[in-house]
Formats: sequence, C-alpha cells, structure tokens
Amino acid sequence: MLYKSEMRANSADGSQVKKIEKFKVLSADTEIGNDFKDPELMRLKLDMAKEFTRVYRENAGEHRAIREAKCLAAQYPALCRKIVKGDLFAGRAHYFPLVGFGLEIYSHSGVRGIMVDDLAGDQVTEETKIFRERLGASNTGYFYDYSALKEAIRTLELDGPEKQEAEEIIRFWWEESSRYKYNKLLPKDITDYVDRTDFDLKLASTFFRVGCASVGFDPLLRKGIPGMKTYISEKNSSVAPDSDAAGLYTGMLMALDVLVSVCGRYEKEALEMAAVETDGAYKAELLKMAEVLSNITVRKPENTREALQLFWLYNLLTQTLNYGRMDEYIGDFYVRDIDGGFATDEDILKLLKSLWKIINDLMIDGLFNSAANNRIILGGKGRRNPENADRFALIAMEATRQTYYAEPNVTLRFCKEQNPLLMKKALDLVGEGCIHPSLYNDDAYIPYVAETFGVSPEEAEHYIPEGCGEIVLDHRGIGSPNALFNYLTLLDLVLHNGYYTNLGEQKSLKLGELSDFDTFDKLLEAVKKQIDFTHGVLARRQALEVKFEGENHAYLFMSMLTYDCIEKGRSLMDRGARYLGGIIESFGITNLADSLYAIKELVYEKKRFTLEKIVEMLDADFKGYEAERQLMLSLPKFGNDHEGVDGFHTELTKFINQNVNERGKAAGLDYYLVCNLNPGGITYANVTKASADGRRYGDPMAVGNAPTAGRDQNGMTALLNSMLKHNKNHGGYVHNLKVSKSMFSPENRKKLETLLKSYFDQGGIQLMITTLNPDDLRNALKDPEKYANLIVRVGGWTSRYVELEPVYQMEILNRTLYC
Amino acid sequence: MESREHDSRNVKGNIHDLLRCSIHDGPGIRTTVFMKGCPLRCLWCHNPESQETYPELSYSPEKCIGCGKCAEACKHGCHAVKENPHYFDRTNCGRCFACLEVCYKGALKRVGDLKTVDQVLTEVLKDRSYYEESGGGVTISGGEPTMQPVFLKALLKRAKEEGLHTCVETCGQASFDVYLSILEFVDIFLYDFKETDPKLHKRYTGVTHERILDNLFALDGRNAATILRCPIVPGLNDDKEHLKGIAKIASGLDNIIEVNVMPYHPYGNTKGVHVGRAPRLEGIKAPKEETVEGWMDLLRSLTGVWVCRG
Repeated sequence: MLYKSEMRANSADGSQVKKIEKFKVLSADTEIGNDFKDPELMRLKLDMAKEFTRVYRENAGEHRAIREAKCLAAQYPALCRKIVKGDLFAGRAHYFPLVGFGLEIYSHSGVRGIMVDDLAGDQVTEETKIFRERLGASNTGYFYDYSALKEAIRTLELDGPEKQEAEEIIRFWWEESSRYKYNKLLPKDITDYVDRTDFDLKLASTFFRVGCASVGFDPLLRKGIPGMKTYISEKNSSVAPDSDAAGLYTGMLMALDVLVSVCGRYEKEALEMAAVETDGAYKAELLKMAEVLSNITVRKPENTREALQLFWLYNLLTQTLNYGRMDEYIGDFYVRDIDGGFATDEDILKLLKSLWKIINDLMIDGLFNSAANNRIILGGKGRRNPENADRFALIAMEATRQTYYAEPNVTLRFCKEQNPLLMKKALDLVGEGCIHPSLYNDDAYIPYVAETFGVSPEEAEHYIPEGCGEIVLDHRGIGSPNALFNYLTLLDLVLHNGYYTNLGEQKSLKLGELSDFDTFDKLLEAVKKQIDFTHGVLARRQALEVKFEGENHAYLFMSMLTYDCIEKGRSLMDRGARYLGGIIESFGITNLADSLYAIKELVYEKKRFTLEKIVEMLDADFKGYEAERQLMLSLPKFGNDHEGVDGFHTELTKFINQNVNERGKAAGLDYYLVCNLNPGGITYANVTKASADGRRYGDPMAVGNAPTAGRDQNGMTALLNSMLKHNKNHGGYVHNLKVSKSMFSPENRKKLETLLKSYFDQGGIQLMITTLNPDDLRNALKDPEKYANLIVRVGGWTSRYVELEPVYQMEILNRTLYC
Repeated sequence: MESREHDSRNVKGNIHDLLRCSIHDGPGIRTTVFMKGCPLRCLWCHNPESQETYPELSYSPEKCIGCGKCAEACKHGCHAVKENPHYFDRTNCGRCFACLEVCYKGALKRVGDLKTVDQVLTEVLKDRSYYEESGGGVTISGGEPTMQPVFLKALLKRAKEEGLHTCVETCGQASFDVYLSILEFVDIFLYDFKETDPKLHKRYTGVTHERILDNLFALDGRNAATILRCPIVPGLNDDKEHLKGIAKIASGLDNIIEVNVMPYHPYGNTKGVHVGRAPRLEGIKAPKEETVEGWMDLLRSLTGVWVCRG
C-alpha cells in the first residue's frame, strides 16, 4: 500500500522544491485537496469531526471497545458517499476525515509532513517541528488531520463560537491522538537511527498503521448479521459482565448496529434515487439494491448479489483493501445461483464488473494513491469448497479480463491437484496483456511459509499475499509492513564507519576503519553486524507499536472476523489474532549482494583496487572513474545463473531472513520478516549513493527477487534459475518477468507454459508476468494518448504505464524483455 | 580406455556463443551451442561473426566510451582514440586480445573461445529440467559444426550419456563420414536447404548444392529424422520454383519431419560490421507477415509435411 504516494515523495532529481510542487498538484487532484473546494463536503466532515470528538470525550471512562463502537457510529454512515449512477452495489466512502478512527489512514497533515520531511536544519520552522513530533503520514486508531482542520477554518470562513469549537478540536487531539501517544513512546535510540518520520527515503522509513490486513468473510456470509449477533451475544453471556471480554463483545454488537445503519442509509438512498430515475433498467437495479440491503440486515445472504453487498459494506467499515479468498466465500452462492437457475453467468459478470469498477474507482474516490493493491485471492489449497470456489475463480478472472482495470489486483494461487482450467485462464489473461493475475505456487510456497512462520503445513495453507505481496496468514495474523529499510545504504554506512555521508552525521555503529577490513570476511562480518543492529532496532519498534495498538484500539470489525478474537474474547492486536508479527520492506538487497561480490573480486581476489580507492570512486559518484565503473558493471550480476554471485546472494539473503526473524522473536513478536515487493528500489534509489555494482547515484536498484533492470543477459531460463536460488524464508518477494506477446502466440505458448511449469516444479514460488509488444513502451512514451490503457506491473502493484513518473517508466523500459 | 574417455572430455571446440532458452532451434526449450567456422558464405548470413574458423575481435562502436585504454594496451597500433569514439584498424591485429582485458565496457569482444566438452556441457546442463519438461535439449549450430568433427562427436556423445535430446544444425557441406560418425548421437538434424537452382546456389552461398543434396539423401537413407530449414530472402530465393523445389524434397524423402520457413532479417549485418565484414546484401528488408504466410501456404499446398516458421 501507499507506495504510489511514497514514489511521489521523490522527484526524479530529488530536489525538495519539485517535491513540494508535486504534492501540491497531487493534493489538488484528489479528495484531499478537493475537500477545500467543496464547502458542502467540508462542512459534512467538520460536523462529523465535532460529533466524533464529542462522543469520544463523553465516553472517556468506557471500555475501549464500547468507546470505539460509539465513535464509529459518529463516523458512519456520516462518511458514506452517495451511490454513483450505474453502480450495482452500495458502498463508497469519503476518505480523509478531519477526525476519525481507522486501521490505516493517510491525511492532509501526512502529505504536508512528507513535504517538510527532509528539510535541511535551517529550514525547519515551528510548524515543521509540529509535523515531525506530533503527526505522521500514516495513522491508525484515533486520528485528526491538523492541516486540514486549519484549512477548514480558513476556507469555510468560520467565525465566533464555530471557529472556537474547531480550534478546540485541534487542541484536544493535540495530546489525544493515537499517533502522538505512540510517538511519545518511542525511545531515543530508535528515533535516532530510523528517525520518526515516514518517508525518510534515504535509510529507513517507519509507519504507524495496521496494514496488509484481511478478514475472513466466511462466517459473516454464512451466518449473516443476525447470526453474528447471536453468536457474539452467546459468547457475551458466557463471560463475567464486567470482564474485558464482555466489553469487547458489547463493542462488537454495537459495531454490527453501525453496519445495519449503513445498510439502512443506503436502502433509503437507493429508493429515493429509484423514485426519480428515468432509465427503466437502472431504476429496477436500484429497487433490487434496496431490497438486497434490506434483506441482509434481517437474514443471512441467500445469493451472490446479497453476499457481495454484505461483504462490500462490511469491508467498507473494516477499512482494509485486502479482500481475501473471495472464491471461497462467494463460491457457494455463485454455484447455487447458477445451478439453481436463479442467475446466469452474464448476470454474475455484470455484478462483478460493477464491483471491480467501484474498487478501481477507489483511487479516483480520493483514497489518495494508496488504494493501489486491492487484493483478491483465487485458487489454492486450504479452501473448504474447492470445486465451487474454482468455478467462481474462473468467472472472477473473466470479469478482470473484460474490465481491463489496473485494480483489483487479482491473484491466483495454484497447486498440482488444482483444476488446470484456472491456470489456463490465468495465462489467457496474462497473454492478452491483462497483467493480472499474479501467480503463487502453493506446492512450493506452503512448506516455506510453515517453516518461516513456525506453523503447521495445514495452517500455512492459509497464507495469502496482501497489498503488494506481503505474506500473512489470512484472517489469522497481522504482520503490518511498518518499516522500510535501504540495505544498500547500510553498506555505505559500514564503509564510512557509521558516518552517514548523505546527512553528514554519525548515524550508526563504528565497526571499523577501511584499513581494518584487510580480509573480505572481516568486511562481510561488519555488514552482518550492521544488519543485525538494524533488525534489532526495527523489531523493537514494531513490538512497541503492536503493544500500543493492543492496549488502545479494539479494531472491532477486524476483530470480529479474525481468528481467534471472538473465541478468546480479545481484540485483534491484544493477542486476539493468532499471530502478531511484522514485515520490513527491504530495498537494495540484490544490489548489496552484487556490490559486495564486486568488492570481493576487485579488492580481495584480483587486487585491482584497494578498498579505499573503491570508496573514493563511490563517494565521487564515479566522476573520473567511468572506465572503472564499466569494469564493475562487467562483473557477474544476480540474474544470470552465475554460481559465484548467485551463491553469495543466497547466503546473504539466508542470513538476513534468519536474523530478522530471530530479532523479531527476541523483541516479542511471533515473527518478523523481510520482503521486497515495491519499487522503493527506484524511489529510495533516487537518493542512494553510487554502489560497487556499477550503479550511479540515483540509478534504480533491483525490485523484488529480480536483477537490476537489464542486468540479466543470459536468457529466461538463467533468470529463472537465479530466482530459484534465492532464500525463500521471507515475507514475500515479487518476481517480475517481462515477456513479449509473441511468447503467447500459438506456436510458442506451449513452450512458454512448459517453461513456467518447469520453473514452478523446481520450487519457483511466485511470478508476475507483464506481456508487451517489443516497442509498446517506447511508443507509449512517444504517443501516450494511444497507449493510455497499457497496464504494467511496477512492483507489487500495477499501473497504467503512461501515468507513471519518468524514472519508473525508464526502469520498466530497461527491464529485459524476453522474446 | 579410461584415458581415451578422459581425452574426449577435454577435446576443445571453438565456440562463439551459447544461447540459453532458445525456442527456435528444434523442439522444446533448448540451449544452442554456436560453433565457429563455416564453409559457406551465404549473402544473407545472419551470423557473419561465425564464418571464420579463428577467434576474431569484434568491436561495437556504440558501446565505446572513448577511455583509450585499448590504445595503451595494443602492441600492433590498431587502436587510436583520436576520433570519436575511437579509430580501429584491424589490418595489423595480431589477435593477442590484450585490448579486451582493459575494455571494461565490453565494446571489444572476442568471438570464438576454445572450450572443452565438459565446460560446454556444464553450462548446457543448467537447464536440464526445462528440457525435460518441454521435450527440449541441446542444439549444436554454427557456423557449421561439422567443421569441428572431433569436438562435435565428443560433445554429442556426452550429451547422450546425460540423456539429452540433441539436434545438429548443418548446412550439409561436409564429408558424409562426419555425419556417419555422429548419426547415433543425433535425434534430429536441422538441415539447411537454400536454393533449388545449382547456379544460383553457388552465387548465393559460394558452393553448389550437389554435395549438400547427396548428404541429405544419404542421411534419409539412414532414417535420420530431419527438419528442413529454408532461409527465404525476398528477391533472391522467394520464387515459386524454389518453393516447389523445397516441397519436392520434403515430399520425396521419408524422414523429413518438418519444414521450417526462415524469413530473412537484416540483424546479422551489424554483427558482421563489428568483425570487419561489410554487409553483402543491402536494401533488403525483412518480409511482411502476409508474405511469409503466403510462402507457407504455397508450401502447404504442395507437400503434406508440416510447415512452420523456424
């Protein structure tokens, strides 16, 4: 999530001025900026903020779950957006509340915060300090938007008592927001090393959020709202009335009432719209929608439409963008509709295409750009109804094929015993340039998930990639990716004895002068110590955050559908979820391995240069050393099936993956993992110094388990073999493959299929295929309008190529195209 | 016996390239080993850097960064960095390849390396699982592999010992004894047939096709499965007579399992220039898709053998 905004945080040349300009433009494009142009909406949000604050204050003494439920009732349906003409489902939200409660919220203040994040010391104003100390781009729990509230006072021209009241809200949340309370908790050694700020973009960023979360909709859809209420009430009556669990259950029941009131609000609106609708067909749809909304409040859903509507509204209140294994929870409804003759595939496709549109519109609807990665999982082991689920999976993929949207991010898990039609359909889509689905190989992945998460193989069957591909155990665990770390910069720290040349300060451990590294092993040891130190700091920060969230937020909608919250009577982050862990988004590991390998060869084996000389070249960004840079580029690189460098890469990733998990467990987490999914390898790279793999300052780093763009020059099998060697005990790595459309021609497709099959049979865990004609990208740059619909896979997320920033466009262009 | 076995593994061949994940040189996914040296000089040659038997220096001006290190290293005065990017006269090149060592960017490259059978095989075996899944294997191509018969036989024998599917791509211009010596180790011959008219054949390739056809028929007599590979160059051999000639051979022989139409492409020209050979065909463009389809349709109307693009 959020990486599109992360990517925006840096302009191609890294200049601060451009960055701020960019955010101004960005802010104006989305609801976050449009708010201020729409007094009616601003007024709505302000009224909601007042009511929310009042409820929050009045319930100070209440159990946290009950207080939260009451606050949610002040938030919804107030923040429900009107039904958009053409929609077959109700449920769009206004994002960016001025005050509110959420799982993962980004704010106007957050955007302002990013804008001032890396101002030089003399540019830091009082206001900037406020952003740094009290706010952050990412938020969870109780939240207020400092900047937007101030802007609201100004644009609504508030005066007198109204103005006073708004200012009082700001003052109240000044001390009371979850973000500020959490910021206060962080010890100095943590903030010193990884800063407090989101989007530091040089060495590390940290987030305060519950991201990459999904619930299990199955119980909700099988029981319905009334059934859930009965179930929770029974639990409630079995515990002591004054117990913590009783408070939680009461909060849950109240939260379900919020859901019912949201259904009621939309039912009323659908009927009102139907009364004035002139298009007969859509009028009928609105009446149907109202009927569905009414039905799901009084009984369990009985057909696909009802099930999808209930899922969607519940999800709206959960505030996640991950929809879990939709084929499992919708499959039975779908089969019942089709086999019972109640609906045709055409009917269901119409519904899915409408839902897909609403999901794809999330970006336009103002969820900033963080709406990327609305993940729907299809296929795979561990579903209770594989036959029905498979049938639904096929029609869901067809909806994706017909809509050709960048979202939702449809994902196919597959295994040997699975219906081969699913893979065939998936490759049909990919071959047409659909990008989706990405492919996950259960047979290879599940044993690794079991080992990495320390769970049984049966439990590991519930792994799913969330967001950009972070692996979690579906509605069993939370492992929010709340730290980003640049491992390539870490090498620069070691080569300067902990001195951070980018900022000009002593940043980390003093592990030795260059002259101390008289053997490669000593250098490698220092790098490992720095990695270990980093993992330790980040793990402690994650554990602190998890504890804070558990103590302060009940996350009611998440808790109701996450194992084993109801059973235990504990909320999500209060050890209600079966597993509480975390994930580091890593960047630059491939470049770190390639660079260390180059240093090993040039300094210690061939003795071409001293280590001091190499550091001099890197510090000079190779100015005056172009020939030497070429020499570094010519050395073996990951991605070519070269035993030496691949072997080193494997050893290094194995160390990283083991070390981070050890550090996490020592900090009290159930697991702590590293993933590499996003083009932070491009964003971070913008401000990452030159490296010994021949990379200049600002050049992109590798994305996921892939070589740096264009460094793979030994054919597709060599690339796949390199990828296969990567240590797999991680929290998700993406494997991008760019192939020519000609590979899907009738004479070649069989060969491509066997190539993929062989890769997966050998243990390949994941693949994301972008299919293009050889000149598509170049032509798109020349003639963007003609290629407006060209979708590409960036990292864990997809985008329209022409909408990407130039630095991203170039990175994707430079990736090797396999023909 | 043991020492002879040892020897055959250490036989060296002059290899100019090794292409992994090749899907156009025989069935399935393959690794193609390109051997250096060819007895033909086809006007359209798409691997001109493979023609000579000796190792050559290839220079790609577009890669040169003008660092001048090659001029310092060269004892024969071939390199000079006076002009942009740099002046290279290969007349006096002593093939010492000293300049390669200092050309970090890789603008200078050696074409043709002596490699042992085992060195080649180690690389080939890295993709074994892809071969097994796809029915692929190793293809020995060139140049003309039969010009290095000892190495060719040793490599094929070892490949067979490893259970690999093998193809040999050949122009047919060799002593039949060479074919006899490798017959038992080859699953499919990829056999070039370039022109029906003997005079034109000589003009286009430098040799007549007498021996080529004799060998093709002799292989057929020994039940060697063969794919007929036919480069078709617009304006040269895209006439009906030749297409009919192809069909006649394909239908007349018992062991032709497939006909590959290989439309001309000009990509080989640059590679030739890099090793100092000027393009011999100029102004000919790759044929359009419809034209190629037309050739294939005509062939399909004349022979029952499977016709596809190669």
